[in-house]
Amino acid sequence: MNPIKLLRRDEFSPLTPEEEAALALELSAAYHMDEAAATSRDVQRIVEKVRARLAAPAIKDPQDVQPENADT
Amino acid sequence: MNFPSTSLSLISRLKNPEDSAIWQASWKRFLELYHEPISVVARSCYRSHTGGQEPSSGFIEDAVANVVADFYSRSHRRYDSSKGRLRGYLRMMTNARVVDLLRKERPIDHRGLDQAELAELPAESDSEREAFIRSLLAMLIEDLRGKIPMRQFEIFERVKLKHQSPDYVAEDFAITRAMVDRYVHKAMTKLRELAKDPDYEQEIID
Repeated sequence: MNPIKLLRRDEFSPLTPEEEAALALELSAAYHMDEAAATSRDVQRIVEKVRARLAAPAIKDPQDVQPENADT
Repeated sequence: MNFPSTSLSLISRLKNPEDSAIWQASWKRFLELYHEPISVVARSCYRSHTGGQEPSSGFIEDAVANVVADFYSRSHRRYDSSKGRLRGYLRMMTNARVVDLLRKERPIDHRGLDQAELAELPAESDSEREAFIRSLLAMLIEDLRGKIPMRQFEIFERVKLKHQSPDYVAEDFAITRAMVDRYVHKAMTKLRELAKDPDYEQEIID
């Protein structure tokens, strides 16, 4: 069940109680994931790594991504 | 840190690197929102390229850091939303960064492997799809925060996101229960409206 598809459901097809409950759970989970990320030590470690990489001079990368998007 | 407020939705801003000030200021926020799906993709790619082995947490942190740094420093200039989803582009970048790191981590193991096979992108798993959708939902909630009055968002946040009792919230805000229900309903209506943004639509196609 895709919660964004539930949110996008038109008003003439109201959500069932089960769908309402599933959507509420997903919204809450997404919110708490985001809240946790802001204080997570793991994320803070990655922040420092990104900061270091952005500050470093660009290096030619032989495995760079292709110009065309590879959508799946 | 939130994204600086603009009239564009969050997903539109991520897809539009033309405003470099906003773009550069927002990489940390992007990392907070997308570290989970990128981590899931990185684990999946690692397993796919190593015959099912599990990566170390340090490997995954390095892969996520490289993807975000790449996305913000130069490769994002090549992202074109008319050619596909941000989600697909991030998966491709993550796979490329995992392959880079694998080559550095174990050059002898991979000396005999075919280049194309190593770089091949594994099919998207259910856990990847769920992680991307959860990040999109978090972005939608952040969009909502900037689009409705603060008090309305706070009431929505406490009732719908933190699961506090509507009666308790009504008492705390010194308003009636009916007003709490009305605020939550209005916020949900706005959230549904934001979810109909074409950029979100593009990201959720299965």
